[in-house]
Amino acid sequence: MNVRRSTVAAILFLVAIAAGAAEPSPATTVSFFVSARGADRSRNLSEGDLRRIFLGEISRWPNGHRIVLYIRPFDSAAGRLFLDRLIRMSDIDYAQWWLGAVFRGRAAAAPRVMATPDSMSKAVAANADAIGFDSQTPDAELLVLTIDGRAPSDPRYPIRAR
Amino acid sequence: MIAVDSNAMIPCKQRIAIVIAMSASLVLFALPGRGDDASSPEQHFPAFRLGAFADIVLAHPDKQGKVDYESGELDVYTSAQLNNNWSVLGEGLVQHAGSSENADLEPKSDLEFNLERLYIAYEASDRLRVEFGQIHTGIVQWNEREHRSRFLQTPIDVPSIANRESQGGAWPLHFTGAWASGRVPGSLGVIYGAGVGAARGSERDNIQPFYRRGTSPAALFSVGVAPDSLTGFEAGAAGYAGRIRVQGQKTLRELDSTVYSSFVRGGIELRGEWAHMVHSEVGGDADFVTRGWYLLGSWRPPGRWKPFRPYLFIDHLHVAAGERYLSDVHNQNAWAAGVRWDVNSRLALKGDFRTQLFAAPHREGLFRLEVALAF
Repeated sequence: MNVRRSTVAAILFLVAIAAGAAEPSPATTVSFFVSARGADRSRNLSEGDLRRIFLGEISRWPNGHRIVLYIRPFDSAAGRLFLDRLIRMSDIDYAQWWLGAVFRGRAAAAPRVMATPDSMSKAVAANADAIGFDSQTPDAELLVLTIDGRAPSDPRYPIRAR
Repeated sequence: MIAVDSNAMIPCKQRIAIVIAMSASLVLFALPGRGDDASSPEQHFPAFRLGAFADIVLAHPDKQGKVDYESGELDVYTSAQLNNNWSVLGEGLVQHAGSSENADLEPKSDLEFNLERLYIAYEASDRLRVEFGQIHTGIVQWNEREHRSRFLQTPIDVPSIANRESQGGAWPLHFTGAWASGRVPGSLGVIYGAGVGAARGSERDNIQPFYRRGTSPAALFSVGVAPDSLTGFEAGAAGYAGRIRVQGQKTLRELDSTVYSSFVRGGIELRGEWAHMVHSEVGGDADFVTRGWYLLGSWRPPGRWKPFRPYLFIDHLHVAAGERYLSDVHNQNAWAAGVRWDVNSRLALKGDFRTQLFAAPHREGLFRLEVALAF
């Protein structure tokens, strides 16, 4: 009996290791942030408006400047959580959405993809009109947004893995 | 519309096929671009963009004695963001004309060159955007969303109510004038549009802004909602009023209305639209009522099967009996079932079976394959 239990436990352990190796550790939340140079604008957005921003339906900040969008790759943990919890589209549909937005004349260009957390932080920090996201806490040059009044540390924060 | 004689067709078709094949190769083998350099983050004007969509449809009838046919489109567009507020957009369509958007029309052997859109836009905020020039009317939501790209739409077919005028379409999809639209801030997600300009002319299928004859003023509006509380849901309505002056006939007063709804979330896509068009003789008693609707349902499964999107599409159009202006528009009562396969973000293959429930003279069933590309 003990041998059987040990065997089952070993198999489960190996499966857990294999699963962990195959998939990067999933992000629990995605933080959205803007440059500290854009500190004149609100640090809170509704989930609906945030979705519209990343769909290009809201294209300007309240000061009239065009919003510059940066996203993480869809195969990153942050990118997957962004699509699943905020955009609610597959990566294929999101890419085609932006093809359509540019074609309709409603957007000048699709969001730029930032391959690493470091390049994302630098890109957003350097542009007062930019917004980006990541699963890692950004550095001090960036302002983390609250969504519907909730910070990423809040258990009721909407862009969170369930 | 400029038609090219059928004698010149073969080399033109070959050229289009070669262009599409070369472009497909580029799309397939090009490395995906990544903008992961953090340099040059500021916006620069003017910013130009050139893009295109192309597709080829091959169709095989399900009965002996019928011939296969093919059609193709190349839709080229260019836009320029001149500064923070002003932009221009132009779109032209080259098409192997005939039955590409309407499987029940007889194929022709000619090419069409059409100017689809050419406008300058001023956008001071998301609340107000004004376009001047040749635009798509938005009376049919499908046309407003997809414009002429058949790559972006899930099925092979364009609904009959969204067929281009030169392809047997009844509704006025093109318009020359001014169009104001915007988004009202708030959780209800209200969008609106209103426009005035020159309506369609005495020839139903002539959409070119400088060559139309018999145009008359028209006005249109649209309103829609996309509430935050129901992510992915959208609904709205549109109206169009104008006049049609036809030589040798009484002037027609046109009043069109449409209602649409859609739900697109996760892998689910549900769309429906109903359209109603009344042509009334000015100084006469005759009223001609044309109606149409479509339903589209599709689903993209998760995981390894996500490149595939099976769909079901139902298309219906009833043209007013005895209306001469729409004499070459055909009734529709069809459905199509098929699958879209997104090979990558720029190439899609679609295959379906479409059947026409009406009897002769229409085809009864077609097996079709579409190759659609975005550049």
